[in-house]
Amino acid sequence: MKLFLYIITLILMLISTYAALIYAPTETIMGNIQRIFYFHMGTVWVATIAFMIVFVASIIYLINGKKKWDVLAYTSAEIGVLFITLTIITGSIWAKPVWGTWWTWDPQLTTTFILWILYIVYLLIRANSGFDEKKAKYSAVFAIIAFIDLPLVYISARVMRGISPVVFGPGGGGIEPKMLNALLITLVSFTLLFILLLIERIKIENLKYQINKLIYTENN
Amino acid sequence: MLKGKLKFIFAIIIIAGAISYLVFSGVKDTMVYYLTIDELQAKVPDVYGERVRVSGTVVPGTIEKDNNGDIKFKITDGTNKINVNYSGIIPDIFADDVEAVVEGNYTQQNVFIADILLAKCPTKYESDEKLYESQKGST
Repeated sequence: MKLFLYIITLILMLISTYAALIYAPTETIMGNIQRIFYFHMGTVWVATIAFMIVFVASIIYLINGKKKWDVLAYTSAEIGVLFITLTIITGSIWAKPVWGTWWTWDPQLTTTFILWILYIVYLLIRANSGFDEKKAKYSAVFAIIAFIDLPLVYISARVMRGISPVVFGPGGGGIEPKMLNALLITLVSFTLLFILLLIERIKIENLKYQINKLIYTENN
Repeated sequence: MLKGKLKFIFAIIIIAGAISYLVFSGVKDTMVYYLTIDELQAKVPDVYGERVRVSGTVVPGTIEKDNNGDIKFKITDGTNKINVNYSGIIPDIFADDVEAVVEGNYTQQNVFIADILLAKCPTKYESDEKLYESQKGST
């Protein structure tokens, strides 16, 4: 079953690379650099799903106290931080030639930066709490509060003046059908990649827990 | 015990939510990313000597390059225009009708001395393919 998921993900990743680099037409104003858009969206998509899972899993963990929800929140946050970092990097590479800067404190970039910091702090707090349940619960509270910033990332570009474009939804200009196809296939393949990473990461986390339990019983 | 804890957690969430809302709405009204040309000119003469960021559309045909690589152009908000002098790296997509963001000092005689020039990217992504098709359709 997992092997099947691996193969499907690999194939879809290859297809989406083809779709982004070759199939999708070249944007008139920005040129070929605009193709980074597909990966930029793919990474921010994964980060968004990851942080939503952190939020929901943290709430459930606080309610029922079952360890698996804590593990889900922690592992998902780790992948989220990785992908939001990739979002910032791909965004910078795109912004340099098009806007003329690697970075500017526009509302969407600022809220994204805050998001990045918040979840890095969460990972630090969570990693520090180890197997202490009480501390794990405090980090869950932090994760829930940190989530407030996520909608702000999306809203800020829409209600405040900035330089980041609003392409989708009300006020957005939209993209061509072929570009949309390339984007959709990218989002699907990135979602599968995320699921795969999450499954593997949870497995590692559980193994880590078992090892620590063994060490603990050895010593006592 | 659990109920007390939950209450505590909800209290934190509500307080954090309220604070973020206040920060957000506060920033929204006072600290804008850039001024419009209107707002800039309304702030004269206080704005002279102050570092500001202004955005406007590049007036077609006004971009002039000199031998040193410095450029001069006009930006407009539809009614008012300001002259911009800039030296530095020019974004790839900078051209007529592009929305530009300039950072620097507004001086007397309606000249803006900029040391940062940014171009806003389009919110609509179109390809030559599409343009070609629409031209074919119209002729």
